[in-house]
Amino acid sequence: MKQSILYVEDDAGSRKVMQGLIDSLCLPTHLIMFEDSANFIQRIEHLEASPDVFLLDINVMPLDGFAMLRLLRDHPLYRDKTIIALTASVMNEEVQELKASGFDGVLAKPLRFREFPDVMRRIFDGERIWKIIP
Amino acid sequence: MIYPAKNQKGISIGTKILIPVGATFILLTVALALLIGVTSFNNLTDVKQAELERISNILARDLDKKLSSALQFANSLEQNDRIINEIAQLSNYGPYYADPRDYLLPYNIAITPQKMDESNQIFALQSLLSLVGQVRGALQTNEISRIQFFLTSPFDIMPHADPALVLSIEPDTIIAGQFPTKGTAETVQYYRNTQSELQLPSEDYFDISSVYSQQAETFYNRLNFEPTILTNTTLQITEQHQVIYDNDTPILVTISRIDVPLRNPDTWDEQRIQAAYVVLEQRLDVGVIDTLRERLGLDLGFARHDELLATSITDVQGGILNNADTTIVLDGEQYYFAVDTVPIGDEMLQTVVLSPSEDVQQIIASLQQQIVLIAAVIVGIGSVLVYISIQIFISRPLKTLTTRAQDIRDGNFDTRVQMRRYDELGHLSDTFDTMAEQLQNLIGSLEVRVDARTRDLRSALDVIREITRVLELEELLPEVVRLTARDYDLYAVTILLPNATGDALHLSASITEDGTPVVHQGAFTIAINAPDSIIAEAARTHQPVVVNDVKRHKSYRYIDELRDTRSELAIPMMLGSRFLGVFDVQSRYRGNFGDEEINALQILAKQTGIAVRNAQLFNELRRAHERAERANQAKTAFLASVSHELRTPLNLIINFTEFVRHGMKGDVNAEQEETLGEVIDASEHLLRLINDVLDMSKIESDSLNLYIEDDVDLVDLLNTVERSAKNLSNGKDVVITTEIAPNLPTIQADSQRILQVFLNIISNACKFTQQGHIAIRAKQEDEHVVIAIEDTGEGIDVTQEHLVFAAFKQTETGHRTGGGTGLGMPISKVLVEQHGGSLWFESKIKVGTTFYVRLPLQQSL
Repeated sequence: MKQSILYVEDDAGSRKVMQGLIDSLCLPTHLIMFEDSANFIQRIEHLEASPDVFLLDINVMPLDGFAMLRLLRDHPLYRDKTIIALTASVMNEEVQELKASGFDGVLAKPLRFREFPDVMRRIFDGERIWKIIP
Repeated sequence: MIYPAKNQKGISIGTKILIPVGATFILLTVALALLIGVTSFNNLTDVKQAELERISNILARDLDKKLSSALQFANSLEQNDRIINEIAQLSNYGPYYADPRDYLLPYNIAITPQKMDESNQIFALQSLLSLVGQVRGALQTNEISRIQFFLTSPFDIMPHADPALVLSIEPDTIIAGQFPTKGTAETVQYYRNTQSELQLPSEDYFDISSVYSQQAETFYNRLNFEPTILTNTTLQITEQHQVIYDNDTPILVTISRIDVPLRNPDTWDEQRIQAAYVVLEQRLDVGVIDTLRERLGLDLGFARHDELLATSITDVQGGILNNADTTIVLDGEQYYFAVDTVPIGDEMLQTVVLSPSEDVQQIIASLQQQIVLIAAVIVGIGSVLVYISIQIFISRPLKTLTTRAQDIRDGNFDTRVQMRRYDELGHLSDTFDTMAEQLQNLIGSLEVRVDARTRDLRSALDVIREITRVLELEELLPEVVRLTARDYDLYAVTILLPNATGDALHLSASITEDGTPVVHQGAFTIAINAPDSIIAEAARTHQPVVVNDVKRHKSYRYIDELRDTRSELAIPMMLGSRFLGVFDVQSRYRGNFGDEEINALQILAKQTGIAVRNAQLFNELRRAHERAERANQAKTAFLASVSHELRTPLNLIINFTEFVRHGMKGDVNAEQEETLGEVIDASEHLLRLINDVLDMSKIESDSLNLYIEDDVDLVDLLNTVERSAKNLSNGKDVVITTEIAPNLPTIQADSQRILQVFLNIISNACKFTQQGHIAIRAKQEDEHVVIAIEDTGEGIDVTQEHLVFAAFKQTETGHRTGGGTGLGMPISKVLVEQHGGSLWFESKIKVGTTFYVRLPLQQSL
């Protein structure tokens, strides 16, 4: 079964990095990327393959990560999917805020080539990752 | 000494008045007592006489009662059927009555006396004894000394027959008559017996057989009756009541006829008709007199025709009562007496009451004693009353006046007498009070002035105390003007401070008419060289300027807001020789600012100056501090922003280089791959450096804040650390072990920051350890957990130890090995210490280093 990942990120560089990282995993993983969050749910619903993992950057327009999370958690199809936040901040306070609002884990930006495969494997295994390695 | 000493001896006014008043009082009382004594003697004699007469009257009425009681008893006999029957029986067997059953002509017996049957005589005796039994008990009860029954002739059978005595009962003696003949009383024989010897026979004693077979004398003899001769058996019937005399003993006699039912000898009809008389005698003998004496409590006696008969006074015989006198001498003693008269029949019996005159004398004597005693008591009480009155009405008010006067001497001018009297002392008291009031007013006005000065100074102190607490100029100046205006009752209070160039003063704080302080920002300015301003003058001369009548001052100008100002004082605020401003006060009253007010306000102005200067200095200091603070925070914000902006491209550099190095963009040879690896290492160093600089900056600006969570699982963190260590030591001959004590508790901590600390330590450990092992251990120690990370690296030289936790410093080894920022350990130490824990290491050169992190289980918030 091919895993499908949706990555919402407005920074083109970051999107390129993500694509590279996913490619480097040599996994049967399908990566879909949105460069903004307009018409978020409609666009997901129009996707051929329903995403298994959502990677949501927090600072995205017009809906931020938290708003997208709420839409997903309210949606019958996506409410049980793995939803991971991406943030550039390493402050624990924000990490706890993400945790409290219902994310399944957090990835610190910038993404690290060395750690990424391990992290992704753990995410696919269903582990909740809240430690951000600076 | 103008006041008389208190203990000086002297006779008080009270005593002086008391002596004549008391003496007069005593004389009057004694005279009155004598008068009462003399009068009472005469009165007492009269009273005694009246008393005797009254008792004599009582005695007379007692005799009346005796008589009526005897009559009542006699009448009661007629009501007693048994007695009546016995008398009827007696009449039947007596000398004067012919029973129709005798079958004789009734009147024959009057003509021819006939012998009486023996049996009838015995029946008569039976009736006599029966009567004795009926009556003798009643003698004692009715105080009767003798009762006699006389038979008369009923139906006028014997018209001239005298009453015949048939029975006489005395307390001791019984005399019964025997009638042997019917038709005459001359043959009556009498027998005597004593009460004590007479045993009354039973009813059946006289049974028919014995009655008819024996003689009457036998029965009398058998009952111990002895024959006796009576000399006086006649009855003189004159009045119902009579008095007779047995020598000197009066005897009251009551005669009453007795009617009984008898058959008329002619008609045989039974009718109630007189058949007998009963005669009752009451002897007024010694016994009776004694009984009466006990009842009346006085000696008494009886007299006939003013001649004393029996008296209760023993050994006294006779004596004539003289009505013209009230006393009689008996047996050598004088008696008061009173006489009353009791008419008995046609006789008069006199009752006499006697009282020894000695008794009256004694009473008079004791009465006189009592009068003297009462007089003495009255004199005593009267004296006390007079004394108290003098005390209340004269002495005490005088003492009060004296005390009040002493109060005033002692400085208590509030004192008042307030006597509320309308006599001379009242006037004196009022005059005194008026004098005291004037004194008080006089002294009070002095005190008011002293008080005012004291208050001025105290107000100054109050204001000073208030204002030295205030460091904000904007708060200080209004507070000063408010307090000054309030405490000194001033119309206007103004503070003017010099401008920056010092050539003008601008109004900085003043007070509105309703007392509200206002801060002005240079709304009103006075040039220092203004010629007509006393404020400018004070600023120029550095001396206070006072104008006690502003309207007459040359520089007076009408200003609407200050139209009520009448006097004004401008005081320069000086600190040493430094001029700080002008303190200007204005009053509604002319001449308000005397030397004392100026002194107090100068103190206030000087202190205000100091406070103003303090506030100015404080403001300068605070502004400098705020500038520094803002600069520091700006730096941190700038760094945070810069670091983010730096990291994003750096991240791209690293990742894209990685992509290339790993051949994702085409094949790379070994040399290219190595070079790309160095690019990545350098970039990651740069990335760490950026992060560390940002943290350091936060630490320096105090904006590094922990986010403490509950239940931080160290096992979880240390697993991450182990994973990181394995990554970092990849390709080295280093064994990584983790030993975590079982049941290691969770802790309160900022997990992200603690992880950062562990990763810093582990990254150093990995960096300096080329072979051997890295051991991660964790255990609990009391209320702490201790995490040790031990490596077998090169160790830290003793001379280098101090560099480990110094910012931007690296040990030589660190420099040599490269890659470190020199900030990791200092940041870690701060982070651990912010948790209330400690971070330290033990190291041996060439052997290895162990870093310890000791963290509390609980954060004390």
